Amino acid sequence: MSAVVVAASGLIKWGLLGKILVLSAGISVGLVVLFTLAVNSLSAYRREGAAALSRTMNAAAVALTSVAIVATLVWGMYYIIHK
Amino acid sequence: MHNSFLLVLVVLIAVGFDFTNGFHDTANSVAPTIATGAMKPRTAVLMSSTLNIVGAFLSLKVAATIASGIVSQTSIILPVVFAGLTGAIIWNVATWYLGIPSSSSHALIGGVVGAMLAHAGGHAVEWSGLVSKVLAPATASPIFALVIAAIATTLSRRLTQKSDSTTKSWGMRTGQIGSSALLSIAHGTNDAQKTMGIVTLALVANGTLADNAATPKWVVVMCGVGIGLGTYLGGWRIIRTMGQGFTKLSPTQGFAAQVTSSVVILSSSHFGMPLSTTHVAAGSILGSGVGTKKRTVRWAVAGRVAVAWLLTLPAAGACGALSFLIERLVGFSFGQVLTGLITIGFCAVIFKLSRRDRINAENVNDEWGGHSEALEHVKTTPVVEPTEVSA
Repeated sequence: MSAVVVAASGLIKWGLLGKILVLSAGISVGLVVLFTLAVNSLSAYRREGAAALSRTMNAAAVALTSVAIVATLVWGMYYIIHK
Repeated sequence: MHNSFLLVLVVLIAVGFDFTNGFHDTANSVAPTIATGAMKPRTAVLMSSTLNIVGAFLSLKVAATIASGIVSQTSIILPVVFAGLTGAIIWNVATWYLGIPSSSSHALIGGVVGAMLAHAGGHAVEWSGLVSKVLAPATASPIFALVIAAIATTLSRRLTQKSDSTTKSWGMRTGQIGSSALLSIAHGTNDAQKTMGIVTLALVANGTLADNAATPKWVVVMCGVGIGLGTYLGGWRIIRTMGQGFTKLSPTQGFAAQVTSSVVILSSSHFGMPLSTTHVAAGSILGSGVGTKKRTVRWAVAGRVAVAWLLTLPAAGACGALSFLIERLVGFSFGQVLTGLITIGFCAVIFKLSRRDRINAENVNDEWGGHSEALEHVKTTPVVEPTEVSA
């Protein structure tokens, strides 16, 4: 069994798999958290009785996170076309 | 070698494979979107189908060789490609009937490797390539996706605890539509090109095209439409397993799963190690279940799917080898017609069987374990409904 593992380990590109894992984890978790923050800000913006300043701040947060998400999607599209 | 008859048969069976690839993989892009009600079932598959066709036209940079680095390219002949395609179609259709999401790419590679073994023996197969390009990524991809989706779901769930449920559901569902669209385009780009590569290879092998010729426009249109049509018409049985069988998805889980799938697939393509969309999507959905408070996943269903993944290469390979041996036994021209007819007959029988417990847009979201169950004989663990309110 161990011989099989050793033989296979030379064939498997562990470094490449590691890079894929790290990059995917960073972008996926980052995007989901960013989107979640946008949803949270939107929820706070819609809350009745919130102060005007708080509403403005939340609206700005929604706009910023939305721009970041759209930028990531545009990058995704660009990458699909030009990879 | 010029044999227009064999060439036409290969092109026809390649389009058939393209179609099954489409309906088999619809679930990868839209299952969570449909399960959470982010889009109506027919609207979701229509969007996915259209974007798969768009994706097919976006890029033609994938290598125009099938199973490159896995089987000896110099030993490939049209009957091997034909037999490999029949093996892949048979496995795709059989797993579709059982509602099992298995990789169409692995089925195709298995079919071609099996046919090549029957044609030229073990020396024509590059076993190291099979391990490094197929087996290792096949094992790693669902695990990667599961872990990442579990982390993303956990974080998202905790961060939105104080948000009002209506805004949260609306927001996450809107996000799902965007991530589903991205996934559909990526799928069309990757998978339609797989068939374009086969047809181009057949044209080159037949002497119809020069060695380094570009893929003809008619091939691009044919493959794009084939995968798009398959995406629109089929896949309900697998959509049901992916959307309802693994876990009960909330919009937060669905969004986390779809973002994870899109990013893992694009990242792996970036590093030149394309992973199976099916394995990644299934891993992400399972991970989104693990990321819930009660870790609600039906592991019995996941285990059954994992067994099918293990069987994909050998089973499609056996079908491909058998198909090639039949072709050789009766002569390649008649043999291809015969194996083609056997494949069509098999598909017709499976289609007829599937009408007994029909799954379609109307019942795809029924409670798991209810009527018209593709996996009804699997004993499943009841899953507690997510606490998130559905708008």
